[in-house]
Formats: sequence, structure tokens, C-alpha cells
Amino acid sequence: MGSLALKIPEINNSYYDSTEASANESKIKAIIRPNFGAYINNTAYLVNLPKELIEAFIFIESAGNPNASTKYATGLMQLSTASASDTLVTEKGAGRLSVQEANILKKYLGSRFSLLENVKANQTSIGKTFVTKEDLLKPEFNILVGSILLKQLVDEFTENGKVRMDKVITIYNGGRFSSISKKVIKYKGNTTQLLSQVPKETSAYIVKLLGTNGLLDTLV
Amino acid sequence: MKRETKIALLIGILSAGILTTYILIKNKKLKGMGAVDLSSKKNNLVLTR
Repeated sequence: MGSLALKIPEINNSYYDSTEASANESKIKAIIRPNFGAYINNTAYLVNLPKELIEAFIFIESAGNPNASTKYATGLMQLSTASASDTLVTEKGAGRLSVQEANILKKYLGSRFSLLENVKANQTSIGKTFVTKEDLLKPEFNILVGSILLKQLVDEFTENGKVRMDKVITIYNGGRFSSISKKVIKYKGNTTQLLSQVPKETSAYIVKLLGTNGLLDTLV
Repeated sequence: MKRETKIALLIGILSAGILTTYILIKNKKLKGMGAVDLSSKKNNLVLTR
């Protein structure tokens, strides 16, 4: 087990000015931490991610509204039922699911957890969506599954000992199989260069997280 | 070389090729994307200034 460092802010670009950055920090302290702090801290410990990273994703994805829902994504970390299902299968197939994580999942999945128990080594999907929208509306479940996905991407997109958080954000945001993600996965340039290669919404997401006055700059 | 021998040899080579491709795909070596060792789990990510 090694240690990966991510320098904050990672890029000089700004999405927020200093007033907006303070307002973001206040919202996270007033809404996200009091309501979900216990789940965030426990999940951060279980999946081995900094809690500030999980808080920042929750803030951008749902502004801390556990009922946030679109046609495609649900809850605090805005997951789709298909992506949540495949994330759990992948984690189990890779032998990464801890007993504590499994116990939390069992609490929400009930008998459906047996589908995960039957997952074979290196399996990444069972071709079936077994996580429901109702599951994803539960903060503890949503934060755990979203953070497991986030950690899978962090581990996958670590190049030469450096986490490519810009790639992690793009793929978390757009899904692994979107045309933008496919392009970004192979991209050789650095983070600043990547910003000009992706749509405005994606580059804004990256700068909101990694830029000066960005969420991580504010929280860390 | 007899015609039958050539045909047998060709079938043999093609079968071996198909079998190798099948095994590689099954082991996800030709998947092309997401070649990640997820078993390396849980490197500690630290945010620094």
C-alpha cells in the first residue's frame, strides 16, 4: 500500500471568486457536514479517500440534497442504478469489498446482496441492474457506492504515481463509455491542456474542484 | 505437400488463432480500456498544499 499526493489547487484557473468560495464553504459546513458528516467520515475511512474529496463531489453533484434526481442520476452523489450496480460488482470481483462495506450494503440491499456474493473474480457486471432508485435516495448507501466508484477511478487513473483527478472527474461525470470519456482516458496532455479538449460543462466541473478558490482549495 | 495436409495445417493454424483470441478476450487482455489492477486497492490519497 502506497501513498498518493494530490497538490491543491492543482491548476491556476478559477471558477469561483473568493466570495463564492467562502459561500461554498459555509454551505458545506451548514448543510452537508451536519446532515451527512458521520456517513462521509466513515465512508472516507472505509474506502480510503480524503473526506474533503467526498464532500466536494456531493456539493457539486447535488448541493447536499439527498432527493436530487434526474432521469439519469439519483441522490447525493448522482449515481445511475446501472452504474451503481456495476460499481459494486466490480468492487466485489476485484476482491476489494471489505466486511464493513458489505455490512452497510446488506442493510439496504437485503436479499439482493446474494447477487454480489456470487460474483466471480474480475467480473465487472452481472448484466442486471439490481440497485434501485430508492436505494440511491438513502444517504448512507449513496455516499458509500459513489465513493467506491470514485476510489476505483482514482486507482485506475493514477499515472506514474500521480492521480489524474481531471480524468477521474470527467469519467465520474460523463460515464466511462461517453465519447468525451473515451477521448480523455487516452489523452496525453496535462490538466490545463485537457481543459481545452472537453466541453464547457466538464471543464467547469474540473476547475470547480481543482482550481484556485475551488472546493478542494477551500476545504483542505 | 499433399493438398489434404495443407488444408489440415491451415485449419490447425486458424483454430489455434481463434482459441488464443478467445482466451485473451476472456482474460480481458484485449479489452483495450480500463486496464487497471484493482486488486492494488487502497493507496492512501493525501491532499497537500
